[in-house]
Amino acid sequence: MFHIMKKFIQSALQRKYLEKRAVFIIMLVLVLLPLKLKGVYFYHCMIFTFYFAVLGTSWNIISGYSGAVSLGHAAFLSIGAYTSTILLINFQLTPWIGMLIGGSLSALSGLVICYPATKLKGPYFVMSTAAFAEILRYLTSQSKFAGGASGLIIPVVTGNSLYWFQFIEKWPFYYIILFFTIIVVFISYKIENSKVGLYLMAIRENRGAAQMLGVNVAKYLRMATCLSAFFTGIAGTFYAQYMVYISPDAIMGLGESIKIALVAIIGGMGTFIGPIIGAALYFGVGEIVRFLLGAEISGLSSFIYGIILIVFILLFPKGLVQFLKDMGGRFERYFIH
Amino acid sequence: MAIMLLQAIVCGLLNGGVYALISMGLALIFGVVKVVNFAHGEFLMLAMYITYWVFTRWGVDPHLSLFLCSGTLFFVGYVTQKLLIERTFNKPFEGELQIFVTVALSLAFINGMHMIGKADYRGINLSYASMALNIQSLTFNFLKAVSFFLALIVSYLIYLFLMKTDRGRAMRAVTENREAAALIGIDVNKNYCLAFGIGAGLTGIAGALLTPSFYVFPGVGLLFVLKAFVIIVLAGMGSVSGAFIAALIVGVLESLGGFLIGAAYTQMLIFAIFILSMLFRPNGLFRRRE
Amino acid sequence: MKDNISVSKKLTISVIVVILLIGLPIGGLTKEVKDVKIGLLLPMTGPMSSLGELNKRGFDLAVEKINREGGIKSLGGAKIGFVLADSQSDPKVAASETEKLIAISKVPIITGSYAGSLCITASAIAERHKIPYWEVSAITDVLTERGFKYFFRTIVNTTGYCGTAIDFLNALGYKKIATMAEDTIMGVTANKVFQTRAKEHGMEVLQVVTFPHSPTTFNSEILKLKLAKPQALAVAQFTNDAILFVKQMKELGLNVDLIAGTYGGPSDPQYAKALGELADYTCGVTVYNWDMQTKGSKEFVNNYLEKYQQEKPGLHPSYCYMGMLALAEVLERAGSLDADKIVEAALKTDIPETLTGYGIKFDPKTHHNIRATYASVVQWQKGELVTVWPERFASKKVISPMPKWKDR
Repeated sequence: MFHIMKKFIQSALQRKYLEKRAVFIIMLVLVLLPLKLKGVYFYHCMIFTFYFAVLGTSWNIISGYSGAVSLGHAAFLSIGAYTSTILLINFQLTPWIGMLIGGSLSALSGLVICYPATKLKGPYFVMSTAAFAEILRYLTSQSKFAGGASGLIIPVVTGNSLYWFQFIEKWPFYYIILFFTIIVVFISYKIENSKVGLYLMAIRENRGAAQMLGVNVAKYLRMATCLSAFFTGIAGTFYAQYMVYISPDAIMGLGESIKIALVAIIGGMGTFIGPIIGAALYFGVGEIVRFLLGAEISGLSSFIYGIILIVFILLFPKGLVQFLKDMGGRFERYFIH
Repeated sequence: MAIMLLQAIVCGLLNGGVYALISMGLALIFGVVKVVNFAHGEFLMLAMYITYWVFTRWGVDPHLSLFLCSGTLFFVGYVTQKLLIERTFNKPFEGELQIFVTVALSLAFINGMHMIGKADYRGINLSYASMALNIQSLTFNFLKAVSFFLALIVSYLIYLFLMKTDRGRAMRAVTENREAAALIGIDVNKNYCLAFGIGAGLTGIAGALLTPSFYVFPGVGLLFVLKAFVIIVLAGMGSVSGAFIAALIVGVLESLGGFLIGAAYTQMLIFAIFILSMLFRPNGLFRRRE
Repeated sequence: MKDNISVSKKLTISVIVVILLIGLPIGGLTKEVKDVKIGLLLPMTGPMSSLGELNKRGFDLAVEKINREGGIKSLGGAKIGFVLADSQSDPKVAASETEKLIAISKVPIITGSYAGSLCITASAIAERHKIPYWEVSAITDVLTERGFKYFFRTIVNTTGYCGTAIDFLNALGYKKIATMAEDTIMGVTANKVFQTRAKEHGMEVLQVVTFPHSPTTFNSEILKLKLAKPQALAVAQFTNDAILFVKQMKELGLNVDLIAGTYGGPSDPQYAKALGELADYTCGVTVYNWDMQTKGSKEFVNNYLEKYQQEKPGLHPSYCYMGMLALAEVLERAGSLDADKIVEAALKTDIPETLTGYGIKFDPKTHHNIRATYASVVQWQKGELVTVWPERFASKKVISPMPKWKDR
């Protein structure tokens, strides 16, 4: 009897099948969710969670896989958001096309970041990305064309409109961001398991050695940056359409870039599901803490949050996902002996 | 107009003195331990709160409480290195981990202080705070001039420490080559803790001196920390005296720029210079080897 | 791989984490409230938290008065309570919390929000859900220019509020002024009003100064002003910057005859606490001060002092108090918590005078309070904040010009 159970657990733990089956079930649940649940606030949570999942996964492509940690992703986010919004306001261009243009512009500006990326190492690169985002933020707040410090309000149409990317209910936004998440995660998965991913990770481990072995470091970093920036820009447009208001303070600060990176780090830099888990954790923990401690004692919840974050990062340096994978490994070894 | 420009330069230099103290601490930490310490601004903030409390409760002048601040912050820095940063060594993604641990620490400090002190803006007023020396119709604010000279003295003391003392030489050895230093028997971790402690202590002095002419609230550190990073990069990795000079340069740039092209564009300019200097002068503007 | 923490501990923690993951939808369960629960969205943490705190006091006092006098009688004497939501001074959180208030706490009305940036996102969401949004504090003009049906604002708007600073300086005979405003939505809108109003009065603006939010030094700005030598200064700053600015004015010896500060600064008690004597003679634009002889003022001051025993009430609690009382009247008239009935009742509001001196009547199209066209000016005199303008509210005469720094 025990023998049969052991066999079952053994096969279930065979990593390949576990992941594929789990993924399928989770996807099914997520897609069918709206049919069952009606809670508007719940949707809002899920939407923001997936929004951060998209951001974290995109960030991961350049920073997790290639090790070029960026603290300036808010810049890409904003380029996407502002581009589609400005095109919408001035040329009545549908945000869907505006989104693609915005994403491309972000990718282009990613190339600008790429130049220092190949020349600067470690902390210097990180700081240059932060500086880049700050420059952009100041520029935007001075620019009347981009609404300046007052930001831009996305013109509202009455009713639902797929063309104008606006909806009264939440569920269309939910499906859209879910769709984006699936795409980005899929691409991330493909990269991780391909030659490109291998090269990126080699670059992360030891750039010099990779170069010597014939890896075109510059080319692959450019590729990763462009992809990362493109999807971040797309998420920016989504944000603009969902929140209906963008401003330098809301989306261009260093705090935003840090949030994006944090999501990937706590979930697991360098794995494709890491950022999703990270986004869920980031949001989930925030909500739990706020629920338990309420708004009464000012600052307590954010303080506890900071402490939890420190403890977490120290306990799970490789992120939660990697930790669970390692755990799975021990489990497996136990059952085989 | 010419007088105004000169005055702008004077103000810039004096401000630079304050920035210098903050940055020298960061230069030491970044240079020796090689950590991007995002919580550095909070060291400043803690010192400012201590100075404020000690002044309002017992009337202790900030120039006296700077000893208390530097001592307390030394302890805080030492402990931060020992309990937090050390834990990140030799783990995968070490560099990134360090950044985020310090970010989380910064959040904890800011929000912790928010709980204790509330977000109210506080200030202290020294009777002699606006005393100024007027030379040739240029105003030299007394308090800021004092900070400037203290920064100068401290900078020299640190230089002496690093160059002439055994402990300092050990620290420099660790900066140059961690493994080799360990091989000759230098306790690397202890030196890291010391460097972090001294770095934080320097910032503590800055906090005490800054309090009378600024205002205190939990997020005050955030206003200065990015500038400090720009300064230490311009100075070159770990160069403490370089940080002093770079701080003066940034102070003057900020002042002149603000006067001539407006503060927002000046900030952009400073960040642009920051990026360019990292690209083209990675060893700092002065290429001095400490 | 060597781990310092034991495996079982790590396992426990990850189990907890999984539970937390399930906790996503839990956030937002409400605490026990009284009969009518109104959503109250304020920045209780973050940079605006001290103002949020002051705002809340105004709301609390108003509700205590209402409940003491029998609650909402048309709803069977129902008492009013709040579901407090913390917007954390962040527009995204303001939006999130609004969603929560509507979906989970199911509040019939939302009020707040202190800042325009917080109100914009929150009220857009409320409008989407057809929930009335009763704005008492944000003065940003554009809020009532969006054609929203369920949005109402009781306080004066930017044009009226910032315009008062210029009107005041003009009334005292200052024709050559300079303006200073920060580079944010607050400052930019204030600055626009400053320039327009100054032109209307035929005043000359010698220097227009702008600065990025929360700088570490004002010396460039002060030097520019020294060069321009204006008679008076109109300023739009938050309190922290105002504190630094005044300190540095003294350090660098910038003397002007008068300063009229909007938003933060002179109208904020923290400003005087931090500056001590330095705050004297600076003026601020407010909608209410404890010494104004307006309707309900004495009662408000007494209740405030009794409950909070600190400084006398000023700008921030007042507009919340006044706005909340008006809301209670609307609920009384509506006799229901239905959104459309509330809107209908609100449009019938016709109050001739409130705490602030102006009454309340909503424009049927924009839902802005058309009686709120002006504000008042206060000045710090020997450590006390007194109303100095317009004459009918003034309890003391304005002291101008301010004595030079070296003469103090």
